[in-house]
Amino acid sequence: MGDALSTIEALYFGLQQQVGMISLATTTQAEKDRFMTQYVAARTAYWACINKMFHDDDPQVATLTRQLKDATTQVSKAEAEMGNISKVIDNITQAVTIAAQLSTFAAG
Amino acid sequence: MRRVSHLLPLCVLLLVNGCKTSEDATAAATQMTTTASALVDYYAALEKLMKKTDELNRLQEAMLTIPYQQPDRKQIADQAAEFEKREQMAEELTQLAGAFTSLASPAAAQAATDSTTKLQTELASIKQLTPATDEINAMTGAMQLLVSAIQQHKEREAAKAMAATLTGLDGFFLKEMRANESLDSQFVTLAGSLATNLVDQGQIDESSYVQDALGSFDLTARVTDPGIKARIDVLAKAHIAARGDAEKRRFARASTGMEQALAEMARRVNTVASDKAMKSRLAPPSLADVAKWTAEIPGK
Repeated sequence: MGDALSTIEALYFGLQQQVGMISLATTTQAEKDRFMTQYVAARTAYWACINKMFHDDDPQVATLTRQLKDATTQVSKAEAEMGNISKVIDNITQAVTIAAQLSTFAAG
Repeated sequence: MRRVSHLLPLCVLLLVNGCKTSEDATAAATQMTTTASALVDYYAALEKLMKKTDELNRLQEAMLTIPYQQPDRKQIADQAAEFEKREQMAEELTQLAGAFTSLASPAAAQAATDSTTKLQTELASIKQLTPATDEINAMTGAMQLLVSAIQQHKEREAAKAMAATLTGLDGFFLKEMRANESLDSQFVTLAGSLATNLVDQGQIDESSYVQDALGSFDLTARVTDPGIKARIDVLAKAHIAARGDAEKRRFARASTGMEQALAEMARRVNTVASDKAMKSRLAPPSLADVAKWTAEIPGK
């Protein structure tokens, strides 16, 4: 469970830390809404996964975990630059989509 | 809440059982009492942390307009309920040990059976949402042996089954430790995020930061200079980050300490049940780390 949970943590905790700054960086209400939708989805994915069994030996979980790690790295890079908020939100959307997929593999 | 005093009669069982020394049996019972009490506190504090997480998410919704609706509210409430179940499980374990008071009496045997039935119900409920199903199965099996041994007045077997139950509990705790640490971290991160946001929005009073310099002179701060305020804000954000990191380390030490104490308790009961001398009669020192953390959760 450790590795898959760690990747979802990295995404959600990272967004938690940056939520104020990203909200301020949005220039339109549509951008802000788009970011908030992704933030909420990341939170939902985290809570869906917590305290549930991940079978890290499942090849699909391993693949999604790798993809999510890469996507979260892209989010961090984009956040650090913060030049194009729309691009930041695109990266977040991509990462959160993978996190949501990964969370469906958490078995109660 | 606490029924750990019922654990003390375990020494009666162990004494009846013909332990090598009565001091060992008494020490084992005392250690169980202290450790079970810490376990109840640990889970109660985590339950409280989940309720505070719910409050922080509501605050975040109010401050930043981030929606906090279902299913997130339910997920967090469910997690709080899971910790409440574990707290009840820890209490039921103490009840079970309490039935050791007078093993010769039919009433005590019946009480042990009743406690085990309740405990098994708690465990069956916990089993639905935990990665530690093998450990729960081990505990359930050990408890069946425990009740059977008590009903047949086989005290030595009962003590050994108790040790096996505690070993299962330690394994169960260990399996969930990673998730528990994650839950503490999410709370700390969320609280830190909101605090930092309030600093960024100019919504804290920087005066509190200079009070140490003025307090000795009976002076009260009134920080108004924008430059000083901005520099103090940098200090405040570093303080938030440092306190958050310290809290995570404190919880990690508490979890490790709790696990070590459970393992030690299982070993000690097994040692006494096997009629061997214990090396130490003191409560596990690692429980101090648990107490330090649980004491810091406000409103517990």
